[in-house]
Amino acid sequence: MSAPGTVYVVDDDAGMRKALARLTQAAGLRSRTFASAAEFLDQESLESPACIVLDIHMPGLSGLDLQAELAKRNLQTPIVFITGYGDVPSSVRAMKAGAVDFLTKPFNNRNLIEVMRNAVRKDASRQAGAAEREAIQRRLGTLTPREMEVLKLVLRGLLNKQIAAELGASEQTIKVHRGRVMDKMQMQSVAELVQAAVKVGLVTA
Amino acid sequence: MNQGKKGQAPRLRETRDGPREGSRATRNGHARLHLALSRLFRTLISPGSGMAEISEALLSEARRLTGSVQGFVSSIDPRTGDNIGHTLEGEMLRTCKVVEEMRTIVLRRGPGGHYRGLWGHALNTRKGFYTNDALRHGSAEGVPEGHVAVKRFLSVPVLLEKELVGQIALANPRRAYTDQDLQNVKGLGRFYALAIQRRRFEEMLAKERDFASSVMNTAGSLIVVLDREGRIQQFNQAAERSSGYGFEEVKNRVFFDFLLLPEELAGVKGMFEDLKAGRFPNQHESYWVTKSGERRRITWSNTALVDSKGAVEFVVSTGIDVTERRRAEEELRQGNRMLRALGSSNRALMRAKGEKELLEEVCRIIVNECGHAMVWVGYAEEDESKSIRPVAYAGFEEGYLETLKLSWADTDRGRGPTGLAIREGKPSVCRDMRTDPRFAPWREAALKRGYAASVAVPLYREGKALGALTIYSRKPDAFSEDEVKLLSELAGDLAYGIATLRLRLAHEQAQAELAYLASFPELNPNPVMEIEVASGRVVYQNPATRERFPGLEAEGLAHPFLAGLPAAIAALRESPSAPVRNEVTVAGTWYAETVSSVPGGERVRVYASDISAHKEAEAALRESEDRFRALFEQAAVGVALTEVQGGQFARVNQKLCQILGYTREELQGMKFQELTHPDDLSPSFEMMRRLREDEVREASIEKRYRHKSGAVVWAHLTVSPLRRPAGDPIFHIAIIQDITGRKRMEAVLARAHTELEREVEDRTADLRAANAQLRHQIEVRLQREAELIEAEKRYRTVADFTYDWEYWRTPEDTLVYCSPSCERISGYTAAELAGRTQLLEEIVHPEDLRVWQQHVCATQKAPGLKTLEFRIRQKGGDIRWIEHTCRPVTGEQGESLGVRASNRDVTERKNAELMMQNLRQELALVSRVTTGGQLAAALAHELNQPLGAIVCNVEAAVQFLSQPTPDLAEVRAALGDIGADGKRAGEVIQRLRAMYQRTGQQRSALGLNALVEETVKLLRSEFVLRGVTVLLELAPELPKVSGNHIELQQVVINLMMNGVEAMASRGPGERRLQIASTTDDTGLVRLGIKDSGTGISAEQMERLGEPFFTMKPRGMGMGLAISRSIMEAHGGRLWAVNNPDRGTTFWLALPVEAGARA
Repeated sequence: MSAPGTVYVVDDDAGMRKALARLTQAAGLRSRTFASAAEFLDQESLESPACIVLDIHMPGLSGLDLQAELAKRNLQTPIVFITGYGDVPSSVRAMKAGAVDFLTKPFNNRNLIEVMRNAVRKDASRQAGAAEREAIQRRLGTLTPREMEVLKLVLRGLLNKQIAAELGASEQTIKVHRGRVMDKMQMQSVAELVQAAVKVGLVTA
Repeated sequence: MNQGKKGQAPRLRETRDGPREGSRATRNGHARLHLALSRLFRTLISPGSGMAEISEALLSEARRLTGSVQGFVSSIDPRTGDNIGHTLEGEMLRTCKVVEEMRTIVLRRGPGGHYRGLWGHALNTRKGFYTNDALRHGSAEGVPEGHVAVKRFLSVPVLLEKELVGQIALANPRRAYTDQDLQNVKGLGRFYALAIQRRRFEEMLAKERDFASSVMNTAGSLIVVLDREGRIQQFNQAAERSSGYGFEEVKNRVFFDFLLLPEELAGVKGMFEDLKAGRFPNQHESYWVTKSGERRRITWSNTALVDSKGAVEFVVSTGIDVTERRRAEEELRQGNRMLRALGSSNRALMRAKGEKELLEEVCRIIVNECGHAMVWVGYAEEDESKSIRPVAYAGFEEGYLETLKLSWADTDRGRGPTGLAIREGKPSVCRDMRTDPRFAPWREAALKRGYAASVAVPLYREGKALGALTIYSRKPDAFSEDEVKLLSELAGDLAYGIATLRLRLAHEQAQAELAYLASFPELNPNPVMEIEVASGRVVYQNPATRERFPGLEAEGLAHPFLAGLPAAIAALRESPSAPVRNEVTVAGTWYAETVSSVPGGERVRVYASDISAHKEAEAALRESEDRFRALFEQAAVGVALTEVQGGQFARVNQKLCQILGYTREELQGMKFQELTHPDDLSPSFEMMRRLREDEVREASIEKRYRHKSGAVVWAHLTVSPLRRPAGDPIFHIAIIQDITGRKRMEAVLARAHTELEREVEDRTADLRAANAQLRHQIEVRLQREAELIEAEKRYRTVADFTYDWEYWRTPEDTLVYCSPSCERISGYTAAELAGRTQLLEEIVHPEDLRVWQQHVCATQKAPGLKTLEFRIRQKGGDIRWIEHTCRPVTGEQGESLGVRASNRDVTERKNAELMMQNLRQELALVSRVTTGGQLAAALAHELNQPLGAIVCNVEAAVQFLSQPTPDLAEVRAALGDIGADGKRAGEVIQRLRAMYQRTGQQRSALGLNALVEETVKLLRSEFVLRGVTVLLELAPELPKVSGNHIELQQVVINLMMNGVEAMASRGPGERRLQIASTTDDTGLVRLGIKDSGTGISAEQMERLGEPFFTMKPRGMGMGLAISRSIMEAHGGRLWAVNNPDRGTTFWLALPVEAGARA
């Protein structure tokens, strides 16, 4: 596996924790185990990419309570719910609140390793997309207002001549601006520029 | 003893030799033997000498006769066969170290009844012998270390009718033993045998006396034995308990001098004389006065013991204390009388003409019907001193009421029962005037007239007490609660009656006054006038007319007052002698107008009277009629008007409808004959006839009605004709009281009474039988010692008529005594059992044989009362349960005399117990299975944990194995965990299975803490799923309890689940279940299960634990009922209390397991 991920296991049953940790390790992932939701919330920060394997029914804070708490803290690490007693209302609630999967012990028909890997992968791609968007935003920030105006018109698909007419400048001047924009944005083609703009929501695809 | 003379023997021996000397020596020997025997005989007959003294004297004589230095005299223990020497002083102790150390010589009997050694030779051969070369004798085995060396030895066995009972052994004279020595010692041996025989006989008699005495003292009935002069000779513990006297206090006192009431003395003495004259057995009932002065009613069965010549020596009386029973009967009788009084007074109310007459009639009724000393009615006066004025009384009064000066104010004279009843408006009882401090002001006057107790009930009308009805009885504590209740009802009715009579009186008085005034027109405050018929002119008017009708003279017939006059005049013309009456209203005032002809016929006279007040009185009268109706309607007894002809119910009240179960409409269409029980019809008709023919003014009967439901209703009926001023009565008025409850109680009492009588008769029959047996025994025993026999015969009577099967088993395994009741219980007769003691073991049920044998061993070892329950197979093959109680009997020296036992047949009780037990266990199982169903989700959760872990571990292991270089260490670890999780899953199943098991009766010592921890584990998932936090506060070192593990766990599960259920409506953070164990100050182990739920309302709390009562929406309502029954079967308790803050705590308490307390 290319991206070594972390699996956070939260389950009050010691046997279960130990087995899940071993399975995680066998799958080539790192694991960290917690006996209660409160213990998990004591963490300073979460590693990435990662996923949380969470028991629904636990003494004290339940799995669903923990899910809500994480959402409040804007932590989007994917959650896989496991339960010894699967009732429909809790599973619906969990999935609606954004859980990636909901498994019933003793996991008869599911490949648990695959479920955990998928969740970690999902976290990784979420993480990667975020990094790219950040870079584009940073580059946009370096543009002058005039360059920004030119960029917006380029994205509308206007030719240099049309842009010049629109802005009341010479075609030559526009060409210089356009060259600077492409440099600052580190783009090779207009197509690439459009794609980047879509990613940060500058234009709608 | 006489050590000084001992030295002579060896010297005498030295002179013996040759035949002549031999015969002289023989004569000498005989003479000395006689001397020795006569000395011994003196010891034997001296009263203080026991076996020790006799054997000591014997040894001393034997040594003197034979010149022996050592020797011993022993007796054989009849149980073990061991030969036990008596502790000896003197030479023996000084010369023999073994004896010095042992103090006593015990020579054991070996296998096959063989005695060892030289001394055993005489016992084994049962022949006396001597040897002067002991070391070489065939039986010699040498002597133990420290024992004095035996060179010469002589020994004689002591036989009592072929039974080996002792031995005399002698050793080491200074000269050789001779045949003469042997003969002399043999003579002593015969004497010794006699002494032993006598001793045994005495012991036997003493044992029997001890045994019989213990039976007598444990009997439940009172037993008193009197001699011919009536002096108390025996007085058992039951008699001590009932009378308050100890035996020592009453011994030899004359029974008649202090235990009886003076008025009953003559009767009881007569009975005693009858007994002495040979007329026995007999029975009587009398009071005896206890030491504290209390009277107790005793039913006695008496018999007499006669001597061999047939003369009565002792009187044996067996008594049963029936005080409580008689008291209940007396209360019932009193209640009946009161009911009758209530009926009679209701009739008096209906007939009453005047208030005083009514009150006196009611007082008379109460005195006559209830047999009380005096009854009076006093009215509460509204004067300054709030005095109480006596208005009517009946009974033995003798000026008492004058002395009273009662008040109903809160003063000394107002704190008696009557004042209190008026002031507080409720009945007030003085139970005993002699002691009640509130009664002090009147005590002397009351006691002088023989009053002892009183009750006062208020006459309560419209929120105020008119006065009170007070009753005096000659007996202390005479008024039962029921009677006071009935009295209150009577007083309520009486108050109704008084109020009604007063209204009627007011009305009549007003009318009389008016009539009087009419004869003096000028003085009459009402208008009077005369009018000329022809002209209609007003020719006379009195002052009142002028005042009331100022325009009358001028207006004449046009005046509104005279508007009806022409019609009246016309009527008068038709019949001049009958005045015409009208009612006229003028300016809002009602007048009664009477128009009559003035003689001569030319004028009419008109009287007018203002009847506005009268009108009001009339309204009041109507109201009073309503009250009469109400009295009829609301009477506490049934009232019916029946037609004299035909017997139809004309009117009935609500109470009667209730009694008979019909509606008023239904009843009023029926005849009493249709409702009367067929068997009671002819007495009813007979009563009607007597009333019709005026033989009696009223008649009573107790008869049965048929309730609408078909049930029989017993009623007390009093019927009297409803009189009219003239003519024959048309209606009978019947007062009907429902006495079904009373009848039922009478039946129960009658049954109890018959039973009691039968019991007494049985006892008497037993006594008769015992007496016959005793007569026989006396004849046999008279030849023996007179003193012991006298004691013995008194006691045996008692032992034989016990209900239980008593026996006494000796250490030698014979039955010294076996009571006749053994035949009823075991099917074997006393003789059969006495002949074959092994039968006692043989009839024990095989399954109970082991506990029985353990019990027998335990009893022999330790003193004290022991009980056991086991089954026997009767002679007929039936299985019976026996409750067996026994106690080892020991003699004066602490030696065992065997075991005395009492057996009771408890089969019926036992069967019922077993049935209840099975039922309870079945129910408990059903409840556990139900609980299991409710726990299914939680248990699935609990099971899925280890299963999930197993799946994970398997998947991980597969993964590790499929790596290029398999990580075998990890695989091994995974497999280890799989094993552990598998075991865990197994345990969950195990715990679950236990819930579905049928429990046996086995109990074991178990720790409640462990049980709680295990149960919390079992319910862990349930707690998690329901969001409940569990807190354990278990006391360390909690004593163990004895119980059935599964059943106790069921109780704990049930209470925990109840707690969880009760908290369902609480927020998730507020669901806390606290479980605490502790020991309380009564030594019980307690377990508290405290929830923070909604709590239990008072009404629910009361019904808690009733079967099928549930507070859960889907509960069956059996959990708590079963839990409670389980706790009770464990000798424990289950209860609930609401917590001060919120929720409920359920508590269990169980006794500490017997072994754990030590």
